[in-house]
Amino acid sequence: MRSTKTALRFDRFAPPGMPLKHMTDSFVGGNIIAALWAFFAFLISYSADLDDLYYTYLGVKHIYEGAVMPDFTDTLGGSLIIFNILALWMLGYAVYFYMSYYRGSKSIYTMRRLPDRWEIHKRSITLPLLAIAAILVVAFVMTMICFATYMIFTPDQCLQPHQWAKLWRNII
Amino acid sequence: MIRIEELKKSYGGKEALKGVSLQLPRGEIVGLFGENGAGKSTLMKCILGFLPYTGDITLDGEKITRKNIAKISFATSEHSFFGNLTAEGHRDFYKEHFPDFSDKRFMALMDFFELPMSKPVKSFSTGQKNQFEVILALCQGADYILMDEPFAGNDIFNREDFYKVLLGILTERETVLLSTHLIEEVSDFIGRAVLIRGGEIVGDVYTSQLEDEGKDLITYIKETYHYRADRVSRALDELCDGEV
Repeated sequence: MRSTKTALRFDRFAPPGMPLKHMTDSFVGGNIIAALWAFFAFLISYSADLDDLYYTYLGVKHIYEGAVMPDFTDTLGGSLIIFNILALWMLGYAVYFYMSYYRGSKSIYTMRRLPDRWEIHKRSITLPLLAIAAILVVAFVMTMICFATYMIFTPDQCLQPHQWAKLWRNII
Repeated sequence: MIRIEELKKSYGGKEALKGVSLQLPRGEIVGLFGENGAGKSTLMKCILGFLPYTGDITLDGEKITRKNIAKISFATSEHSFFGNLTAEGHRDFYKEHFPDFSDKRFMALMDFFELPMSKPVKSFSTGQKNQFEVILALCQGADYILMDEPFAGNDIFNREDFYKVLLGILTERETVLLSTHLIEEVSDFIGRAVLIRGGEIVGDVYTSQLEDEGKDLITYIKETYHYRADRVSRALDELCDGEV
């Protein structure tokens, strides 16, 4: 029952009759792929940076004198790229939704003569914008997970100061 | 009343409407006739505000805006419904956006034409799609119903049914502007004929006036267009060097 209600609610923000399964699948699947990619890409980069801090002497790992870990943002690098691609993909849905009024029939004639002038915009851009907002949230959560990993597993003496501030400067 | 004054519309350098002036009072069924490219569809699209134009179009004395656009409905052979939406979905959508939508009329017409309520409209046959397009226009609750070749693809029985239904359900408030090539078919059904040619109104007559003059609509149209009955035989004659 709850899913039906949710589906109906979302329908009101898409072109009338537009099946949303494709968009939902792209959104969910894309987020899973983007999150996994972000985490594993970060882990690979982080492991390499972490390894560079150490040398092995007589089978024992030691930290180089004065070794510092690159900033978190440098280690993170382009790990979030898939989120950017996914956001662009979702933005493409706005165009797809708008063009749907010209496909098959010319329902654009109905949309353009509705008393509510915002209806056509509401039904073209709301869902893509919501999807992009959700992608930003997931990307932010993934960034926090990676940041926590970075802060927990990097030896304290190798951490450069003000990592949190640097991260926010990059986000903003 | 829809009042159109000195309406001009050009596509590129080509004038599609050359200063059209026309009045459509309430309660009339008006046939709009003309060859392909005469300007019939352009005229309707200008009334609906789909195309930019110069001149003046008013609806009951006011410019046509979002505030009064619901008083005009539109049925077109291009179809303006949502293909993926069911008839039921259309009913809900129209009810939400057009406060005067007539649910009673909608259900009666759907029932009369035996159209399915729960199938996506894109799965309808061409004839059913045309019927549905016209049903939506008739049920919107509009005072002015513009129809642009709405029956293209329907069989004769179907079209006749529609004319009868139209005559039966229209109220005194409702005006229909019907663009069609099916002149003979609609001649008994319309009250007024407007002829457009090359973007200009070349004829505007009430059918009662024609009756008084003992003339039928086809004759009036042929006269207005200066139709030459011997045109075909002369052309064939020339093509075949007089052997026909």
